Amino acid sequence: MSIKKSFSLIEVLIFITILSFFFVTSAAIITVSMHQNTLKINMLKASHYNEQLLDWIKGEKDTNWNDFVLTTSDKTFCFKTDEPSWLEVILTKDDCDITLGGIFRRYAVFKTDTVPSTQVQVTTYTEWEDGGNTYSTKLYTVLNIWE
Amino acid sequence: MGIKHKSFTLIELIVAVGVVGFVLPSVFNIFFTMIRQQLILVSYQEMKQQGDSIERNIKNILQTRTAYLTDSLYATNNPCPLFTTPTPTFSPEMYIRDRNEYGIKLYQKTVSGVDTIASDSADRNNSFLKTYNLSSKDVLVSDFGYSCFKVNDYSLPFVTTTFTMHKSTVFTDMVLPYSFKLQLRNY
Repeated sequence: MSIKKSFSLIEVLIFITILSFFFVTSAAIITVSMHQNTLKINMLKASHYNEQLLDWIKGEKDTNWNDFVLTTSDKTFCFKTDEPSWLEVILTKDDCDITLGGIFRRYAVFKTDTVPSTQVQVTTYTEWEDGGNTYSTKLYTVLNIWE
Repeated sequence: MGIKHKSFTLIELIVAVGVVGFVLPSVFNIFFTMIRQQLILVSYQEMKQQGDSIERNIKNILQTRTAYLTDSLYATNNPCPLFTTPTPTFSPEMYIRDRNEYGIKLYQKTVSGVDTIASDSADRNNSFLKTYNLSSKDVLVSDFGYSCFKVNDYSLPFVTTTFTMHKSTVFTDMVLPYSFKLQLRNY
């Protein structure tokens, strides 16, 4: 009778279990890492859109303060395109379509405290959705009249 | 009878090669996707960094050194119409004079096959002094232009400047547009 060296069933099962833990963990790490990279890229784009919008708003403020206050007084505007404009007033952020860069929603909330106003509080938001979650970058500033 | 050698059968080899042939491309696909994403992220970061640097440079020139704009190096015509005229067109070259009448020209230039924004300076006699590039050759700059207007004859002009940062990799083309408007300051 010849005796062959081999692995028992239990040993094979334990080996497969350990190997599968390794593969599942690796797959999870890789998935999270890829998601984080995508998130960082979108965060960078969203920050850029926010900064550009705030720059444009500051330019509009400097052009004519009175018109700026009248236009923005306690309103929320949606800025759908790369070139901002005062065309779209919205009531809630859901009224702002996701069209900027294909995945972003960009809007700004204006608050005017005093009448006649010398200060306007501006908060700009750029949001996007990924995997059922909504991510957002926000910039807040207070604009004053120079004179 | 000869010596028996322990070895793999043909079926076992075929199965092993089949499994490896199935697993390896998946692993390499994941690996290269991760590298591709990292490359895109680094490219965007570089474009953003250089774009922000160009924006700061131009804003600094406009706000601290600019006394007035002209429509060419040798002229003193003011290129900024009143706001009520039709929308000013964008000009690809910006001519600036500082309070000492030294000239600065901002324009898009190709250096070693790469588009960048260059700044030329000249003395009050329009003799060329030096030029320097506002971005490195790792990123492309395109669509540089400026327009300006005044709200009345006595106000300082508002200058709108635009440019676009580009970077191309083997995987994708990336674009970051820049646009800003500011009012010149009085000297």
